[in-house]
Amino acid sequence: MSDTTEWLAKQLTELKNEDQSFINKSIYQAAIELAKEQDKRAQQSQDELDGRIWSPDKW
Amino acid sequence: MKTLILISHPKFEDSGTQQFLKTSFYSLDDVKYQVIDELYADTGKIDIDKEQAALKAFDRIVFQFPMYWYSSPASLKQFMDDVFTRNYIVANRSLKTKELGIVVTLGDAEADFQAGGPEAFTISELLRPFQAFAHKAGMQYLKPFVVDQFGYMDPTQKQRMLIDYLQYLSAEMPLNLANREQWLVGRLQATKEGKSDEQQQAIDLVINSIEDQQNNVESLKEDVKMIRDQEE
Repeated sequence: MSDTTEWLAKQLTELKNEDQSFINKSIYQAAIELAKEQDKRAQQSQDELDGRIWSPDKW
Repeated sequence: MKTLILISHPKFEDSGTQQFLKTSFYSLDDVKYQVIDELYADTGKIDIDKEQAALKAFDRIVFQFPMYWYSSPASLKQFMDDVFTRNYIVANRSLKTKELGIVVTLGDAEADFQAGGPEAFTISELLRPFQAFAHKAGMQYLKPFVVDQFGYMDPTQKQRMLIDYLQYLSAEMPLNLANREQWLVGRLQATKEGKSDEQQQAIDLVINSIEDQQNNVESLKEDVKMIRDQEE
């Protein structure tokens, strides 16, 4: 997990724990999951870019 | 975007699932609801002109009901037969370009609804008449939203379902990452209400970070697309 995503998860967990509303807690939890998904997508794209740029076909 | 939920349920107030959904959608300003059974309760008849006019104000119309014998309870069919006249739907194309969503609650597991499963038929197959109606009306039919076995959900599952439900009601379709991100940022903004300055600042920082991450995702996606296009 990237530093930003870890930081986001920590911040959002704090907000979630401090909030009494079930709806707000759900929104913070969903934001944690979204941040992780963004992280995964970014990593997948980065890996694909690396793979395509360093393809042996181009050597 | 404005959404109307048309609820068909003979015992709406007694249903734990429906009350959970009601508490959830109350948090959204642009979502209104109507319990069809209450419309018919007094005289057994409804003001068709009034109902037809009211629907025009909404962009997304959602039928919400428990599945009764593989369809909706009778009140929704009655409402459709009364309000969706041929003139209103076909001649005047009154609902054209609006979206039609279905929120269906099930007592059985959704996984049972498939070929070879205990229920044998899929939810998509069983709800086909609503899809046919949307097609005839020129509406965009949304992928049905299924709430199955609400009573067995743990709090984490309920939280997830709540967010998925609210997005189904009010996020831009399709529910891809970009649209879900945009929706969540809006909801995070709304959670600032009543919070201390310090907490509001914390939420602002979170929002900025999420937006930065999304821009990064989009930009990398563009780069990948560019390289793929060059290769092929």
